[in-house]
Amino acid sequence: MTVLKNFCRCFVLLCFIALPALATPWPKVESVLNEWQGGRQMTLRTDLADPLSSPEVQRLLEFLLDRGFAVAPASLGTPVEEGLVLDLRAAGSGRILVLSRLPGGVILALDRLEGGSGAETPAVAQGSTQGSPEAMNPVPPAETSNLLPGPIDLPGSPRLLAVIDAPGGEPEVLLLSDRSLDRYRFAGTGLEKAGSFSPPISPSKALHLEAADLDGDGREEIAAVWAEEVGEIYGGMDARIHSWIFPAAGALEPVSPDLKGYLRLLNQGGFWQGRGAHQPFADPVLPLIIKNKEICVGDEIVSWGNRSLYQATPLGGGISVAWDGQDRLALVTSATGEPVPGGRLLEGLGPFRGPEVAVRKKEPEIRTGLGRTDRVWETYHSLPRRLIAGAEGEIYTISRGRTGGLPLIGQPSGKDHVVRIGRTPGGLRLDRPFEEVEAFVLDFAVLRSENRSTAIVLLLNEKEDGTGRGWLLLQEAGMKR
Amino acid sequence: MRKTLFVAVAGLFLLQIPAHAEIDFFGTAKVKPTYYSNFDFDNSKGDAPALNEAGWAAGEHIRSEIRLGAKASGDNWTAKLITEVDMIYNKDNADRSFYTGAEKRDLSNSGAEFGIERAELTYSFLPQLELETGWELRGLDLKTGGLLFGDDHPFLGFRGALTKNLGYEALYLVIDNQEVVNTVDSSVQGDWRAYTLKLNYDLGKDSEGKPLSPFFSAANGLTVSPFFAFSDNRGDLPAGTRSEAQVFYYGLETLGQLGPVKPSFEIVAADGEFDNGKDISSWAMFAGIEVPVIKAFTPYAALRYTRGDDDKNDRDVEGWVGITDIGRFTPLLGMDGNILGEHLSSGASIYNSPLYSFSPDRAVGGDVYGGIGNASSGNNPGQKLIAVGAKGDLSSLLPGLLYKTQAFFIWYDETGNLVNVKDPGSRVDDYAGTTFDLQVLYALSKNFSIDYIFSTFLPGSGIEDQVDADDAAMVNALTLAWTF
Repeated sequence: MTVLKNFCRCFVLLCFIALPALATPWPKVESVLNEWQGGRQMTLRTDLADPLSSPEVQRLLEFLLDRGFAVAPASLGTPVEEGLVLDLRAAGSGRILVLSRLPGGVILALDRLEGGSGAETPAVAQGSTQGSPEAMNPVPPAETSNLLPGPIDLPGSPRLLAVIDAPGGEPEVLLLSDRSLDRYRFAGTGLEKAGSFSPPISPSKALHLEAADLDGDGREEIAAVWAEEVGEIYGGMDARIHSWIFPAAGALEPVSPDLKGYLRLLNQGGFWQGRGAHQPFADPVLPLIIKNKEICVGDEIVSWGNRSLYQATPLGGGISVAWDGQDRLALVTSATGEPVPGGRLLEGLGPFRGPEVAVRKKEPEIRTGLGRTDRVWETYHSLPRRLIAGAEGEIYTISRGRTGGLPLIGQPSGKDHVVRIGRTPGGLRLDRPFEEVEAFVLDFAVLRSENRSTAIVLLLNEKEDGTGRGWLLLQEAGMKR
Repeated sequence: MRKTLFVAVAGLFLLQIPAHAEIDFFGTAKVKPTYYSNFDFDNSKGDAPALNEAGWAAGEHIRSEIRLGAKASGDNWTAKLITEVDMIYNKDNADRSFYTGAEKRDLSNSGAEFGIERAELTYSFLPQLELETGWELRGLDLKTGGLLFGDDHPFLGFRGALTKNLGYEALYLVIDNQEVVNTVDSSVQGDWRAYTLKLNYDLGKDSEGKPLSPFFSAANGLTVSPFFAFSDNRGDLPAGTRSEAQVFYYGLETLGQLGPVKPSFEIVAADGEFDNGKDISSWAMFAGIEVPVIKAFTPYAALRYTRGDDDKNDRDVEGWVGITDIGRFTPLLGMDGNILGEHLSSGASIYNSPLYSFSPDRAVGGDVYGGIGNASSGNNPGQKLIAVGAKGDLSSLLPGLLYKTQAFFIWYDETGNLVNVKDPGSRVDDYAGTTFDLQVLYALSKNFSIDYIFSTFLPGSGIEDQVDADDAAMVNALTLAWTF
């Protein structure tokens, strides 16, 4: 009994000691947010050059994310049209945290914080090409102030696009073509090449490009995937997959060996899937890990919604968005691939033929005879179109409205555009914030413009297969030319 | 009037019925400038024409094979029709100017007019039972040695998947069904029918299709296919022209992928008799292996054996004759245009392997019980063939460049029925000769390619003994191919 009493006293004492440590340094803001019943969109504005490296900001972000807020970091003074805004700024010898509501600018809470680093050069927002609300520390999107409206003529025939942040804060464009991965910066009225990598395989076909922070160090990595088609006279073509990881900064030199499989990069995680002998993809999906300072493929199987690597994109919370066979989108559980009730988008997004992977058939099909050209030796599998999960849970993808026209006699007609799909209590909702274009949209990347609206960079081509003239075009949501 | 109205309404009605089918159109067009040289192994003589799919040709000629096809498919059914013209370039063929007469100057107009070259019609009642009929390519050992049967003979049959690791195909082949007007005889006189059954068993999977062990879960696999055929060959017309033969064939084919290595194996036996009391007993086998080394070099080797007959005057017919020897189109040794797959027969060459066949199954003559054109002899000398070859992708040098090259070393199995012309009375040497093939292909796009085959047959002592000459026979063939 005495032991029990002493235990209880110690426990209570420990609680009192621990309690101050558990309390946040912003009790008034905490109190208001704990009671908050409104929208969960939050803009966090700071005067720090690199807010994510600040322990104070990290703790604040954890506090907000734990309470289900979707947080958009921004620099101090960035205009916000609506929603909650938290301003962390220097004030005299200390710092203050101010919670306000827009429109109207009503201040809801103010906390004075200990210490502070004082005002610094406002941060330049970074571009985010992939991410999810629960993917942790989404990389702030890129500023578009220095991006040209375009369209900008492109050399060669790039098939895929990504946007990354250069060390100086300016966004740079990565273009993947069959023969190379090229980095460009915006200069004057066009693009200036800033680096290039040619895969040591021939011939090569561009399959996939992605940029995200693979290892959570605040710096993006780049994943580039190519196919090498190997032929036999009486066997047809078969693609071998080659892939490398590159750093976003510095020279375009791979920091991984040839991983020989398909890659996806999401913030804080990378994923790999190999080819089957007679299928384009073979289970399972595996994680990319860092072992002995080298990037390699791990062993632990990752649930991917019972889909192949590019057919599904995790959104967090055990949910993925996936393509079904008819080029429609649906929400599925990541563990089993079962459809989420009410999670189907009824609007079709048009047929889309992405980069193709040649897969040799186990048994050649006799079409017109036994001769070499009389049999079908392989099938070509098209990879799905780009699908980006935004920082606020929305989904961006390409709607194909353009067609190539009738064989031999037709001309391309119709328009493509990038659409946004929001998740609402009523299900998935499609909206069209971006202007349609009279060209084939091969790929795109999501940015944020100066006035905080969403902007995208489009990779366009006059031909659906990307072999025609190509252009880069910047679009802002809600803006028409 | 009423009848006309009814037909018109019915026609309109039919036009209004929605078509619940997908239709695919496709085609191939091949133009093949070719040069045949010296199939008789004797430079001092001219060359007799040899038969190819377009007709009879000697020396330089251009063969054109154009196929247009359509395949309609719906729930449970398919219907495929392929039209073809296959001709030697000359004015009469291009103009179809002797279409109304079957022959001109004793040359048949074999194929210059469009016709339905292939038809295949299927209906799937159940996954285990699919009806199939038409005249499309079917085979029993097409994936390995091609020793027994591979051809587009008319058929009626069933196929299906009994379980996820066991499938079957049973066919009734109508190879010849001939009649003579105003002649009263047996309804099967001159006919040739065959009844076949093949099972395909995937050794690496269970009946649910799941791998039996981790070894079989990736690219590895092994399929075993026992097959059976009964050939009911009722001679020729008129009755009495040729003996009838009933032959049972039993065989086994295995095909695998074990790591990078691809083995293939076939063995088949023939057991039957002629109606004149002669016994048919023979066998054949094939074994091959290919091992990829690098993209540009995949070597392979194979052994192909057909039993020969040592004495055409005895009661035992031992020379191997299949239904159609289809060696030319087999995966490992096949090459669409090499010399051994051409028609080294019908007076063009002493080697006497008919079109598509690698073995000299028309040599000697007599005791015919099968083969392409129903003209292969059970007295043939058979063959032992050792092949070495390599193939690869040279796209590191030039994208789209592929090659295949091989050498065959050929011995007769038995020479007792062959005639030594060089040294009359002596036995013919058993080394028939060596063939060398080189095929180089350049694919300019998915739809157009150019390939060139150089193929030569260097006669060995065995052929030299039979023709008293030893000059090389050659084929040079260029193929311009469009696929759409």
